[in-house]
Amino acid sequence: MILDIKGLNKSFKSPVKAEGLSGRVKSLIKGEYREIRAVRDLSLSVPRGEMLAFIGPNGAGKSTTIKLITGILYPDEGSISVLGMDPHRQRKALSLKIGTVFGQKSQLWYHLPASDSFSLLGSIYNMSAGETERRVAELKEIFELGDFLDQPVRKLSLGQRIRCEIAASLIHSPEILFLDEPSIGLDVVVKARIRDLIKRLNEESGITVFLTSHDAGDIEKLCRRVIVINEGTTVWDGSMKEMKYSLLNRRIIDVKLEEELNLDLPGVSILKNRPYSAKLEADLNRADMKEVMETLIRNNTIQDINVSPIPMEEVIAHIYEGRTAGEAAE
Amino acid sequence: MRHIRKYAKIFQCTFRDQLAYLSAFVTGQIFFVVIIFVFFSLWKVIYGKEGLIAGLSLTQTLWYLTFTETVELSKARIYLTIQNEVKEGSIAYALNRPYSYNGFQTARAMGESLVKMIPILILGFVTTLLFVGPLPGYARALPFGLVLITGGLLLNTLWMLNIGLLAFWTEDVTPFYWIFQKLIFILGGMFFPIDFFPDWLQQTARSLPFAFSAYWPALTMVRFSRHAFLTGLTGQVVYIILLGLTGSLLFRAAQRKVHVQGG
Repeated sequence: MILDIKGLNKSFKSPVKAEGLSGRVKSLIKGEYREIRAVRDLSLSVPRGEMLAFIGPNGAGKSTTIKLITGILYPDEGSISVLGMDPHRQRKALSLKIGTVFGQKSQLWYHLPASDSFSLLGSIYNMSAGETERRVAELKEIFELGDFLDQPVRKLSLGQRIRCEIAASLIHSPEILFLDEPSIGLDVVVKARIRDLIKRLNEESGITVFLTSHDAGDIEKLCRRVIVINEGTTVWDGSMKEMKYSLLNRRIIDVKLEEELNLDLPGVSILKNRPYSAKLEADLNRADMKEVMETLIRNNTIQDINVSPIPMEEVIAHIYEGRTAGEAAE
Repeated sequence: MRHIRKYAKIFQCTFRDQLAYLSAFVTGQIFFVVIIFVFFSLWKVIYGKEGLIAGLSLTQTLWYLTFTETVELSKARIYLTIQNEVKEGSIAYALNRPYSYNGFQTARAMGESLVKMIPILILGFVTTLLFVGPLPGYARALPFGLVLITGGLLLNTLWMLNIGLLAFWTEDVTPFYWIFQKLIFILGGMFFPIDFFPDWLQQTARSLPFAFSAYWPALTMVRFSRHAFLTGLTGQVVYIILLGLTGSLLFRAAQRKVHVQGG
């Protein structure tokens, strides 16, 4: 296991701001604090080479967890082992083996060519000039940076810049890569390109990828495993396929008909009903798919039919709203 | 060795990055020319027919002020940078890199300061030359003066680093900076040479850290002596070490206060 977390707890004291002047004075003398449990009883383990989506709504405790994993915060309880190290005690040593990309915070010098930032990062990660040069040449090829590596970063398009950002975080050949919203603000084509690159990277170099994103596409296209956290604890940990097909056990059925829809089955709700088409949602915990299809075909003249799982975005929204597997089954 | 290379590279990158703002910065320095003009008018009246005040001529005093202003105007306001990083929580990104946060900020600030210092020195030279004529002994004092001006910049940077780190305990550090700046203005001899102070204050002011940011570098330039240079240098080294130490103690204490911002 490259990452092993057991029974992690972390809470913060947040000062309660009192109202009015007298309250302010009082709080100066005897401050009142509210305890926020940012992470509660979190356990997870990640094998080497995994592509993991680590998602949750805003304020769920994602960043806190990442800060705990990278050693910036110290846990109140529980143990963390990253690459066999204790992140808080060995933060510097660990930092040499992890790379980070924050979509909203650049690590490149704005007016300088990316190649300069690369060489600076090489020195920061204690690499010799020769080592850095070889590594940059490799990354230049993988990320196809040849055309713009020597142009000032401010002149690059967002897509080019993100490619440079990701390459920059890989200069020191880290074993784990943390990607935080890497595709924010990118267009569809560039997004797809970035995803391909990350995927290729994972396949070729076996780097473990830890992705946090609100982009359902990123999560669905990239990751084999998904961990959803909410209110500081894991609400879902499983494979992407499982999540999509079994967590929310519903199918959307679009039908084209020659007449009005005629269907009344428990567990099947009609989302849209127009003269020649209808959209149904079947809850597979209550309705049997075979029976649904048979009844549909028996009672109606069907021209076309399309059965699809719930879109990824809705699956995530459902989980965020707190409907876990058990509740969804009700 | 590798560590020195790391911070030297950070310095070098900021220096080159900041060059992009050079022309905007120089244009913004019309203010500096105005200050020198105001000082010139003011001190001309004060000097009247006197040739020397506390051993300094009008020419020397005006050049003195040009150099103290050079240190003041070349600074990189890192206390604001640090305050913002603490507030936004983006300081966390810097913490998982294999460098010292203080070292990184200092190297960056020095890169920025030196980009600003060079045009200010040139502008100051031209303007002051036009008002009061050449400074006797300029060429000889310059290499020593540059060492102390750079030292003064480093000293100020470390002050701002310490002040910036206070953001872990208090939301707004600008009042601390404001107090520090006024201390430099008065006790540091930025607005007038410490030699003009009453006797009882002179000795104290000369040995306080503020004098090593402004007074000693400027004095070495206008009234060069080996003694002035060595006193300035020794004091700078001592206070740089002290502020470096308080900075790392503050940072160590601050690390326990890193909070989650932005969930």
